[in-house]
Amino acid sequence: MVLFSKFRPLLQTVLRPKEQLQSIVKRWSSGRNMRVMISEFHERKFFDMFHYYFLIGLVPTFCVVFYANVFVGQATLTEIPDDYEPRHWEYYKHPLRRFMARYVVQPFDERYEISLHSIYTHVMRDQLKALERKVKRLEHARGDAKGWFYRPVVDHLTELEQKKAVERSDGYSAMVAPRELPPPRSWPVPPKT
Amino acid sequence: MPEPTPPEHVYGLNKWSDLGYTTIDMLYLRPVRWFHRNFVERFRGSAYPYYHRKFGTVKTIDQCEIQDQICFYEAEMSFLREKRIDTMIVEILHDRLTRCIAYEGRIDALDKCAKEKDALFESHANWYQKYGEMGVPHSCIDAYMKQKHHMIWMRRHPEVDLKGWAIEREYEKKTKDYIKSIPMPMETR
Repeated sequence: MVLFSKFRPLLQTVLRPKEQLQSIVKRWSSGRNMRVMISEFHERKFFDMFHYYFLIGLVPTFCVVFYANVFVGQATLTEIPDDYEPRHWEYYKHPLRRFMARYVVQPFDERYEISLHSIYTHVMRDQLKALERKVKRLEHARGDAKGWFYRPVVDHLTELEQKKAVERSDGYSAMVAPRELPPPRSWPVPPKT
Repeated sequence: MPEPTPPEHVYGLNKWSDLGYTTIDMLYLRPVRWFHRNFVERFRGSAYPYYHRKFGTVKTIDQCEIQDQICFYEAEMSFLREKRIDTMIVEILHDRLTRCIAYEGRIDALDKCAKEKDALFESHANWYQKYGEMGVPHSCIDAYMKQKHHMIWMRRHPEVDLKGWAIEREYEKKTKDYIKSIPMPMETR
């Protein structure tokens, strides 16, 4: 890439001017010729932009890598002390690798534990499904239960309706003249006994 | 693992060109060493540790209960880890042999690299016996079955001597040591 700018003068030494553009040669006095050549503007512009955008990434990267390798340095291998549990990034040597492990990448052990958890969840789910299938199969085969999906839900309105129907069957005069006193009030304040 | 690589087998083309200060490597290594001594060692911060990861012992396949998927997974992972480690070991031994041959030259390597060659042969054979020829993909259960079938085969064919070449090499070594131990003047063996 750095040698692109050398190609043009090489071409110009190989294809000499009189072979290049023999017909477009301006003379404005005898012996003085102006070589009419193709504009270099586009080449220069392209290379400038290429260098600019390339180095925008390269210069900071190089500085960071230089600093990490020269001034921070790589870690030294030591035995794990007995009472210490190393953090997951302390298992790596290069400082940039440690940085990635600490802030960017999912820890190795965590990934393992997540896989174990997912296996456990799948196993439990499969066992429960199998149990449900077994229960349905047995109920269908034996036919001796009310249905395991039957929930004993209390329908207060229906019960009230049934009670009222029983009372109505006694007669409306039984409701008008009750045999007992109504129950004592409990709201807002219960009576003093 | 067997003994570490001797330091002269590490760089240089061969022992005749590798005198230590005239190889082309020195053209690259000397400026790096100068820079390291004069700049890096002065300005580097304090040293900090890193540790070697220890994996706890888990149950192998033969110790797992039936339908214990978690145990299977852990056994499989440990099997894969051990396979990677064994592959690296074989690779390192192969590398050592290559360096030894490059250093000594083709002819001297026949005498001088016998240890490396034997180590590679043995480790490669063991790797193949443990992990090889099972098909791709294979699991820890396939490896366990292979071990079982191998033991059955050994029981059925007791006359086959699988350690024979190692015993021969030991005998050869003992003979050579005996000959060396006989004191004689000025290399008349």
